[in-house]
Amino acid sequence: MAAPLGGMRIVDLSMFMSGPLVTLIAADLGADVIKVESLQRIDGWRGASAANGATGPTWEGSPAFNWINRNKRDITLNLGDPRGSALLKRLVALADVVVENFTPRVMANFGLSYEELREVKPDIIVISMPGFGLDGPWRDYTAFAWTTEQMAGISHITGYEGGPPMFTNSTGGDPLAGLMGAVALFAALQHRRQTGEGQHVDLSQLEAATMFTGDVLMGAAYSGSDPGRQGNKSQVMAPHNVYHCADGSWLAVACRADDEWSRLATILGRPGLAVEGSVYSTAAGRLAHRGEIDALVQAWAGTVGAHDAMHLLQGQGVAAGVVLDGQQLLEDPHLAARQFFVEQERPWVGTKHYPGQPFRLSGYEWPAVEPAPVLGQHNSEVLGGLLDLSDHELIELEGADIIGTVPVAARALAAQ
Amino acid sequence: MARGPLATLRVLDLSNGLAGPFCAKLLADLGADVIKIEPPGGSDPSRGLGPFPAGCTDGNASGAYVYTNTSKQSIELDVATPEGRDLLSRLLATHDIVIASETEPSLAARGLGHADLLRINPRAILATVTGFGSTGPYAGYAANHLVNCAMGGWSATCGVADREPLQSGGNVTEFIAGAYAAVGTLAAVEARERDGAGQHVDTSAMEATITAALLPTMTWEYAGIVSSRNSNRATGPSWMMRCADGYIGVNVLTQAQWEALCGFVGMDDLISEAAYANGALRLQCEAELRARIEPWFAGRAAVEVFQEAQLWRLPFGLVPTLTEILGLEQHREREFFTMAPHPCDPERTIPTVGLPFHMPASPSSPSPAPRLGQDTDTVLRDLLGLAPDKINELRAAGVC
Repeated sequence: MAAPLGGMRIVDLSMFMSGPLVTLIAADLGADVIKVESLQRIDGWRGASAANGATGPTWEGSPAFNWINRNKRDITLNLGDPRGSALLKRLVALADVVVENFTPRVMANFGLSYEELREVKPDIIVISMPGFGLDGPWRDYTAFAWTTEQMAGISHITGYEGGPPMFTNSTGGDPLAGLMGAVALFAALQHRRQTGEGQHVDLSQLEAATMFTGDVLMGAAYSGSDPGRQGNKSQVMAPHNVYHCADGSWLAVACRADDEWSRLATILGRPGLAVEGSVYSTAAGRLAHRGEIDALVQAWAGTVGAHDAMHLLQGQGVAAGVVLDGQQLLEDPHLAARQFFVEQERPWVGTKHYPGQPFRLSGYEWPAVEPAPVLGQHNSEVLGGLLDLSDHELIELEGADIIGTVPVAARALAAQ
Repeated sequence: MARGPLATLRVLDLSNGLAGPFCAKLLADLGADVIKIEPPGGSDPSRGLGPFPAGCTDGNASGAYVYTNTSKQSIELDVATPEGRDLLSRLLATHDIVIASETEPSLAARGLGHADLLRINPRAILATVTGFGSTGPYAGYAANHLVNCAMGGWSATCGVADREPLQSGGNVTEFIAGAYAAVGTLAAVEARERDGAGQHVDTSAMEATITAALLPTMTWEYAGIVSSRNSNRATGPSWMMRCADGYIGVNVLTQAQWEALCGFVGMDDLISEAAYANGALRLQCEAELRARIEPWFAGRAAVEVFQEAQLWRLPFGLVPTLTEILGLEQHREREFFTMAPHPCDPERTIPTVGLPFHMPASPSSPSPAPRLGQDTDTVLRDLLGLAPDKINELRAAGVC
């Protein structure tokens, strides 16, 4: 069946994670994504390589970069040079969508405002996703993953009871912004299909992240109520915690309905705790005696292995999951059966496995993975092929550092 | 009234909980015509999750329900009965996108699998969003946000090493799964525009959570290292530090930001200390470093620190309480929160989360979540042409 976004072309000026997640989804769905970096300013995620033990250029070994940029093409263009921004406009004229996540002043400084892009492509869809949106008093402020995680309230409600707020240690607000950006992309495409109109989407990464705390914010909206930090507790469920198992692993158990509790109580060897009359037989009673419930589940968990316990509880319809680490996830049989991780062979880093997409379409096979491009890999393919520049012109651009494959800073370092 | 960019989409929302309803909400807020279907009396557990207004226990006012069901219609219909099933089939002629929160095989066992839907309408898209997806050995296992955090690699690294692993606060992973389901559904809509065929979209909350965590799997794959649990700080290092009136996120990712931080707190001499030369070294002695820097923040107001840091191009973050979030100046100026009727008190309005982006050519804004069954009569009469007598008869029989 058809690739959902086959034939679609996206010019992607975005960096790090939020914008590139939008275009990763689009690229996996068949869009031609042309990522634009420059020798003067490479994607900052190329340097996000805490785990980089690979050989080769330092800017080519970042696992995060290599994950999020598969199936994309990469060109370099110095947009601060009029020749670079002119070429970018020629590309936009051949594109459907532009994605960028700079602070608002940057695109205008390049001479690439929405109005200027619309002149070369009247129905262009531009998705701008700055930290705080295109207007308002904080429009020029910078933000990244943790800034938006914190300001959306996620940090305030993450942590041990009575303790300070904590980082979630995920990638914070970035994927939240990326997901809302992807929704905006599809919405804008639908609008264009109905009306022929493009538009300039103004996405605030902070607002996007706040979509993910909308339920807890209702309490504040109603009456200023605020649970603060509650560890692993739930306001409505007990047990709702992690328990230390005999093999040293932790097991999460969440139980809400009375029938679930009844089956759990049987597994714990205490069926009497679920019969009518027992203080534990109702959700309210279990919540009021949360500490005793935790002690009961913990006493049992300490005698079983975490995976065995999970399968046993799930077999009885009780929500349970092992606290899995990175290695366990890559070796997990369920994820293997679903072929979640996808293999990518890339220069210098070799063959590695990366998360695929968390959704599958029954009528569409994910494309064979094209490895994340190296810096400027597709300069001649895109600028020569698509824009029809001659070899001579390409050499001139390279001489002026408008295109190339080695960052200016790295070249300067090598020359020292 | 603006109709929004997805005004041509028509959806039947059979889901409950958080992830599925959030998926359908995103489509509805953007203009899709979404009919939420529950059996008479309701079945969505989000009505019990809260938070509730003081003194009100009406399930229609549960914050989890109100938030995840904006812009929808609500009908009561028991699709397990033959009559209910027939009416569902008739709705499917126009409303050809179905959202559900159980696995496809489980729906098929009830005669609601994708093949069943396709027999009624070959354009039918079925989106399922579940804890573990519709296939594989854990398919059908139960989950919620706590279990997602555990199985998706978040909890292992959230918290501190000598204590238990933590969920993140709220229900973030449920909404991540729901957002991915919305993206998958819209991808299926794009494909259908091209070939006319409806697809099954199978979304897994576990996989969505792993994708948003990212680093634990990548760190193992690249370096053979199991990430430790120490989310009281982050790389850079970055910390949440106590100010006079709350916390501030001192976010320092790059070397340039580290040097700016030293200047910002008036400790330029730290830049030249060999022990702090790079991020990896600083992380090794982060407790000592923190102790040197933290006192600077103690007497200052968080908002002032935030705004001043931004002048230094330091991406600090406020750590607002929930009530403070509702009042953030930037939200007010961009009108992110809109006022909606209070579900228990017609005299009052409450701030409600809007859309996270402005689409000037196709504007829309959320309308309040429906009360259970408020649209049953309208939908059965106007959409399916049922006479009032017939509706009463079905109601008496417990079908609607």
